[in-house]
Amino acid sequence: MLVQRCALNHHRLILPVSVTKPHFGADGFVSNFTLHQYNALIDTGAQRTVVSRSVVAEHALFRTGHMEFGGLHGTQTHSRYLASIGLWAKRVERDASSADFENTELSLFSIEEPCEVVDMQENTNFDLILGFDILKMFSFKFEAKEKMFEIIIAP
Amino acid sequence: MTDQAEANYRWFKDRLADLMVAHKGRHALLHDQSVDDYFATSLEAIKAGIVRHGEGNFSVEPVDDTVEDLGFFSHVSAALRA
Repeated sequence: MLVQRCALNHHRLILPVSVTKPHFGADGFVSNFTLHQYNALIDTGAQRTVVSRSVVAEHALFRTGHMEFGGLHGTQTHSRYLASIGLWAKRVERDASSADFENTELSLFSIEEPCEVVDMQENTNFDLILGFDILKMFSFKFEAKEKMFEIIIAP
Repeated sequence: MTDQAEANYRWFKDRLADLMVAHKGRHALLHDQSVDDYFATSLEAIKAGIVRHGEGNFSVEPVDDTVEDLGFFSHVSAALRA
């Protein structure tokens, strides 16, 4: 199975992801990723994935519309963009004794359909916020003893 | 794209209450400040928009007045900017 893990760091969970602009053709959307990795903050409280404006500009993501969201200072309106998101993961073989044999090489798993992300200002700690629109597609858990987050990208 | 999306959004917001009477929960494909069609999902509307008008010549808005929550970005980020 494909798994990604990350340790809790300053009360934050950061995963490597890739972003690209999807192109629509006769066979549907096609996504050609580069190997560039971005830091994505795991945020189960976010209903939608958020991407910094520099990533939006770098990949020339095209704007699809707007989104209103609530915050401490009332309602704000931001733009929505169409993006393909890929998650980097390791192949792990789990035997009958539940011992893991982990391949150290990372593979890029592309989410099948593009998603609509919201833009945000730059942040020094991460480039994206991975919201529940994407997280809900996968099984994931947090091991309190090891302070380790695990997301199963493909069984 | 900026002008099309912004003009469409202003037009749409002015009419949202009326549009919600018959189309609440659907996604409006907007082109030149009018509703081209309604779709069950935003992605379906985007596909139709690309085919009918080309990228950058349309926008899609949810026919809904629900405000979303963006977790960290909604609360912490907004507070840091204040």
